[in-house]
Amino acid sequence: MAHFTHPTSILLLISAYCQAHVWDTRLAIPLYLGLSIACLVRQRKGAPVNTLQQTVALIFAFALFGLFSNAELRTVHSSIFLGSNVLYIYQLMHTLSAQNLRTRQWCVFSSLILIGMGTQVVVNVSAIPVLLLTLILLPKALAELENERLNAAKAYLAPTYRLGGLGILIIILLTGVFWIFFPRFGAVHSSMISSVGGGPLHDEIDSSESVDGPGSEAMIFRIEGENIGYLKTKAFDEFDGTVWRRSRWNQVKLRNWDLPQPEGAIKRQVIVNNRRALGIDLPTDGYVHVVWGSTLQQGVLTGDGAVHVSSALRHEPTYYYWTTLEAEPKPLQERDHKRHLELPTTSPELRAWLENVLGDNREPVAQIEMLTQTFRNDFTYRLGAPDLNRGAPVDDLILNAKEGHCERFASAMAVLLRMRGIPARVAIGYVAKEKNQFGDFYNVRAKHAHAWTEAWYDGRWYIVDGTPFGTSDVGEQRQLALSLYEWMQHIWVSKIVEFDREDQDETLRSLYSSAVAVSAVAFDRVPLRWILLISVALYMLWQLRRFEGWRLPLWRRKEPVVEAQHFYGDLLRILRKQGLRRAPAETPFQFLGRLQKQEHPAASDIAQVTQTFCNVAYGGQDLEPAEHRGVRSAIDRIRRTKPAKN
Amino acid sequence: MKRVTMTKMGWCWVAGGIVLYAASQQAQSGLLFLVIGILFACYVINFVEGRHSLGLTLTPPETITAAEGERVIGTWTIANPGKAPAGCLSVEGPWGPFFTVGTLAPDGEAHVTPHVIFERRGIYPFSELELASAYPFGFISWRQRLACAGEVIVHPGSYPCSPPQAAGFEPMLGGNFAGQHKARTGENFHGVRPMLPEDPVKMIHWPSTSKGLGMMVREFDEQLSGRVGLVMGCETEIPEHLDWAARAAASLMLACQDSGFQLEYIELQNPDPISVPPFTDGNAFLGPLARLKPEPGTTTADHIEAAVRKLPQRAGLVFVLPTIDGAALAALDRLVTCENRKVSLYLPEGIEITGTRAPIHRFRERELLS
Repeated sequence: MAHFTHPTSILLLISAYCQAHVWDTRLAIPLYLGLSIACLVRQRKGAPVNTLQQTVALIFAFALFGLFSNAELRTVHSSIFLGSNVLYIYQLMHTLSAQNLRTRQWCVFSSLILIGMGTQVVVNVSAIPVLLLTLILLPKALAELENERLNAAKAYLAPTYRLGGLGILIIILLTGVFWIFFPRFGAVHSSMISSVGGGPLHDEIDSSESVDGPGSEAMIFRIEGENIGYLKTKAFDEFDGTVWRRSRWNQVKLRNWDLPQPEGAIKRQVIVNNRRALGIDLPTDGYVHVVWGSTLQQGVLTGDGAVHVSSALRHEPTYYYWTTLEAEPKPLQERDHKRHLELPTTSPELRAWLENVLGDNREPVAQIEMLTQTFRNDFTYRLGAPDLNRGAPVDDLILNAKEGHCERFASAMAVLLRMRGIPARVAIGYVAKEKNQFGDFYNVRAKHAHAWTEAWYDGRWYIVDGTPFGTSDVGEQRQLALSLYEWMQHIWVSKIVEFDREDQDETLRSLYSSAVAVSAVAFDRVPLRWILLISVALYMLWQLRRFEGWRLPLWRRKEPVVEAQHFYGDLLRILRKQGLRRAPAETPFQFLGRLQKQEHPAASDIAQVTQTFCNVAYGGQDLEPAEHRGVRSAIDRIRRTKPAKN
Repeated sequence: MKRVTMTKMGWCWVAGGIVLYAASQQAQSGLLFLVIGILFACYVINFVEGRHSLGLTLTPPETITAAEGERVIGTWTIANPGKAPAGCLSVEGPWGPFFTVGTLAPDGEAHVTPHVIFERRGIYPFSELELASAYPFGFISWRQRLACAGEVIVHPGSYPCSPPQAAGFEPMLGGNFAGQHKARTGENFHGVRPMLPEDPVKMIHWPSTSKGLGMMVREFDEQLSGRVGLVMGCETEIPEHLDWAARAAASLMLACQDSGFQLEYIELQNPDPISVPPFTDGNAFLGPLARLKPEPGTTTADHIEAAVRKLPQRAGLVFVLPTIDGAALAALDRLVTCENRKVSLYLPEGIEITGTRAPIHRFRERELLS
C-alpha cells in the first residue's frame, strides 16, 4: 500500500475530492474518488495508456462536461467548470501513462491547481483538512520529486528531506505572513461556486392563500451586529383587495448612497449562504446609507426602503451596509402618501369592526397598539389555516376565520391602518432571532422568513407586527455544541474565506497602530537605558543558549554512549527475565553468539541492539534518531517474544 | 559571491502560482490565497535552505588526469560543518555537471568521485566550477563559484598506429631493431664463438664448452633504438584539426615509446624541447598536448628552422601540423634535400599539398590513415 501513501497519490485524491464539489450532488464525491483510486490501482499494475487513448479520453471528457455545463454556468463559470474537469481527466490520463519524473511533476502541479479551484467550492470548515493535508503533503511531494531528479543524476548519498513539526510550523507561519501581507487587488468578482437550491421570497402576497408549514432549516445568511430584528427584503404598496404587489414607484431608485455615512451609523456584515434564496433583494434593517460588497452588482436603494442589486448574486458573497435604526423625520411626498392609503372598497362590517376596536381614537401609535393587542388576544397564528374568501380575504380573516399566518396579519394590519388614514405597506423579509451563543452574529434560516406591516407617522416608517405570536420577542437557542460549530464556521468564512482587500487593509492598519502604540508606550514609559540593557541581556542569553550547562535537564541531550548503555541495559534486563544471563566475563558479541547458538527467536533483533551498542559505546559513532527508534522498536519486539524452554 | 537563480521547475510553479493568484483576485477568495501561501512558503524554505547548503567545505585533489572519452578519476572530500543537513548539491562547470550529492548530514563527510566524461582534450580548471544547491524543492538554485585550486587535465585520446620513421639508431638495451654487430648482452641469442682474452668469465657458454671445442662464449644480436623528433604545429583555422593533430601526435609518440625510440617533442610556438626516454609513461608529452591552443602565425619557415635546430641532428623528424603553407613546405623540402634529414609530414585529411619530397601521412578525427 506504499503506493497509495505516497504524497503525490494522496494529493491526487484530495484534488479529486475538491473537484467533485463543483457538482451540486454529493454523489460526485465517491464517484471522483473511486475513479482516482481505480487509476492509481491500474497505474500500480502497469499497462500505461498511449497518447491516442489519452486524446480520445480528453475529447470525450470535453464533450461530456461541455454538455453538463448548464445554462446557469455559461460565461466564465462554465469555462472554469469545463476547464477544471478536463484538467482532472488529463491528470488521470497522466496517472495512467508511463511513469517518469515529468508525469509525476505534472500530477503534483495539476493537483495543486485543482485544489486551488476546489477552494472555491469547498468553502466551509471541510476546507481545513484539505488545506492542512496540502500543507503537509505538497512540500513532501515536491521534495520527493527533487530527490527523484537527483537519483536520476546518480547522486551520491540518497537525498532525503524530512518535514518535521518545526518545518510544518514554519510553513504555517510563512503561509500566514503571505496571507496577511501579500497585496490583493479589487478585480472582477465572480466565482464558480454553486449554491444549494431554494428560491427567493414571493414577488407578491396573496393574502387569501394558505401556507402549509414553516420554512426549512436551510441557512440563508448570517448577519453580524447588535439589536438586529426585522430584515426587510422588499415592501408591497399596491393592494387590489386580495393580492399585494409592488408598484413601480417602489422599484425605482430612491436616492444615492449617503457618503460619507452619518455619525452613529451601524456597520452590519452579511455573509450569504444561499444566494438563490435571496435573488436580487438584499435583507437590511433600519435606514440604509451605504451598501458595499465585493461581489455586488450595482446595488441601489429603492422606493420601498429595500436594497436591490441589478442582477442575481454571482456566488455566496459577503456584503456590508451602514444603517441607522432611527432616521431623521421628513414629510412623505403627497404622491406617496396617497399611494399608501389607496384601498379598494371596504365592507360596512369591517368598518364597523374597526370602529368597535378603535373607537374615536385618532392617535396613530395608540391605534396601532390597540390593533396589535386585539390581534394577539383574539386571533390565532396557525400555519395551514384554510384559504380565505378570495373576494374579501381581510373581511374573512377579521370577521370569520380569525387565524392564519404572518402574511395575512400583515395584510390585514396594513388594510386596517389605511382605513384609519395611516399610510401603511406590507414588508417581507426575515427576522433575526437565532443569536449565536459564542459570536456576535445571527443565523437566519428559511424558517425565519416573515411578513409585517410598516406604518408612516411622525415623519418615519415604523414596523408594526400584527402577527399574534410576537415574533420579535422570541429568541431561539441552539444546542451548545451546534452553536460552537456554527460559530467556528462563521469565523472561518468571515475571517478566512472572505478575507479580502478591505479586511487586509483593516488588519494592516490595526497591526501598524498596535506597533505604534506599543513602541510609544515602550519609549515613553521605559527609559532608553533599560531597553538597551534588556536588549543586551537577551542577546547574551541567545548566545549562551548553546552552552550545555545552562540548559534545563529536559532539554539537555543525552550523550550517545549513555543512551546506548540505557538501551543495552534494557535488553539485558529483558533477557534476564527470560532466564538468559550474561556472564560477567562475557563480551556483548560472545553473549550474542551464545544466544544465536541457542536459536533465540529474536536473535536478529538482539544482534541489531548489540551491534548498535558496540558501534556507539566502543566505536565512537553517533546515535542517529532513526537508529534510536529502530533500536527501541527492536527491544519492544524482544520483550514480546518468549524463548523456547530447553 | 553567491548567486541565486530560479530553476526551470521553479518558473513553472511561479506560473502556476500566478494563475492561482489571478483566480484569487477574481474570486476574492482567502482560501486560494492560503494555497498560494503554501507554495510561497516552499519557495522561502527553498531560498533559506539552499543558501545554507552552500556552506560546505570542498577539498578537491590537486589535479585529476583523464583521457578523452574516459571517466575522470579523483576523489573529492565534502564536509558539512553546519548544524542542519545540506542537500541537493551539484558541482557544475561550463562543460556540464561534475557530480551531485543527495543529502549531507550535519557534521557529515563524504568522498565523492566525479562521474563526468570529457570528450575533448584540454584543461578544465576547478576555479570555473560552481557549487549549486536547490535544496530541498528544486525551485530556487543558489550558486557559488568554488575558490579551489587544481584542474582536470584531459589528455588527447590515442589510437593504435605504426611508429614514425626514425633515424640515428644507437645501441640500446631493449631496442627493437637489430644491428649488424653482436653484443655481449641482449635479448636475442645469436650463437657462440671462441672465448677471447677480454671476455668475462660469466659469458662462457658451458654447454658448448663441455663438448670439447674449447672455451666458448655467448653472442647476442645488437639492439638498436632510433631517435625521433616530433614537431607539433598549432596554427589552424579549424579548431577541430588541432584536436585531430594532438590525438595523432599522442598516438605516434606512444607508438615511439613502445618501439623504444628516444623521443624529443617540441612545439613550433614554444621551442623548448622535451626529451622523453623510451619506455616511460606518456605524461611528459600528453600534458603539453592537452594544453595546446591554436596559435596563429606559428607554422612558418622560421619557426620550423628554429625548432629543428633544437632537436638532435641525427633524429628522424616528424611534423604533425594542422595546416601548412608554401613557405613552411619549402623549409621542409630544404631539410630533406639540403640537410638529408628523414622527414615525415602528418597532415589532416582534406589539406591538399603537392611538390614536396617528404612522405605525407594523413590523419582523421581518431584515425591515422597511412
